[in-house]
Amino acid sequence: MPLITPLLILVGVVGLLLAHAFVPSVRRWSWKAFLGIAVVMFLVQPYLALSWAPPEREMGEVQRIMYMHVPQVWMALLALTLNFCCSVAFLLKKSWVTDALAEASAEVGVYFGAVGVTLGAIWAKPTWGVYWDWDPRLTTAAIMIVIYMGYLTLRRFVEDPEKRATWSSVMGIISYVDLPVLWFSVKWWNSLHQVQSSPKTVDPDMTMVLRWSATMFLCLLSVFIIHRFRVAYAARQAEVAPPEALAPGAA
Amino acid sequence: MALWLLQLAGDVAQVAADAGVQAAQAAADAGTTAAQDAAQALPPPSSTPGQMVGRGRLVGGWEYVWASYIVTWTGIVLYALSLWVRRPKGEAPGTGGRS
Repeated sequence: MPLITPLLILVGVVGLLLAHAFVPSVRRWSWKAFLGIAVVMFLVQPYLALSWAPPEREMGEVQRIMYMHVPQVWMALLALTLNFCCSVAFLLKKSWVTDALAEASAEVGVYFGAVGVTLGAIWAKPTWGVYWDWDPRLTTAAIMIVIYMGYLTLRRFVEDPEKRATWSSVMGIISYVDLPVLWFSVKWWNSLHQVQSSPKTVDPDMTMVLRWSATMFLCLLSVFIIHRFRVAYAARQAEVAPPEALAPGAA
Repeated sequence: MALWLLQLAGDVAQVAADAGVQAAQAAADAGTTAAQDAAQALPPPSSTPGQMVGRGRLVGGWEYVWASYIVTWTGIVLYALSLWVRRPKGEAPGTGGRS
């Protein structure tokens, strides 16, 4: 398979994401396109990751966990960055769309973060000898999950929609401070976790499969956020809608 | 007599120290040899993209790889199910009531 294939698919997926954001008519079918691409890529991914890609020199076959662990952590960071942007946007201009999108991205981000950290623990056992170590990268990842679970809890406890949206926006902005620390922790401190690799230092076949997996999870992330947004936005509309007796056209 | 005893004690200490140094040197040599053997046993790094680089130092471990796939697939199914259960009724999917 040509090494550029996942990059071409990624360009198409990003284009579709932009269309979803800016062209309302695309929103009716875009999630089906994301789901279709994700399903096809999920069917091919096990062959690429478990057979086609070479084993790593030091870790052997165990390194194949990378094709599931790394993209899911990336998706968590992406979703929580979207949450940060929505939080800032809501404070600048109040909108139930950005509030619902913040809620959706936080929940999906926590989901991908929890799975990604779990896979990291599974990978740590054969390579480090333990499932968990309180090193800077793992600690900041754990803090990220706990903080955003707190964010979601805050949204559950505040009943007034406006107060909830404002307070959670502030918390979303403050919580985001952890993410750059998480990203750079392997460079700033003497971490057991390896530093980020680059395509220059990795076998091209490994890079290709990693990009394939990342694009696949990006499609899945899009499907999850679109549907979670739908749930949140419907709940917001039900909360802020006037009672039937006061609605325009009533009586 | 006391002088002789002191001299004897000094000789014993010197012999013990020499034996310790020799033992440490032997252990260091053995360690170096073992490390060199291990390095020679490793396959050379791949110079051609796509070429197999060997089996790695860790042998096996497929159960951890399968576990990662099982966790991922289980998570996807459960989270998708939770979204389906919570879906708002009576709306076209994906529109969020906005379009």
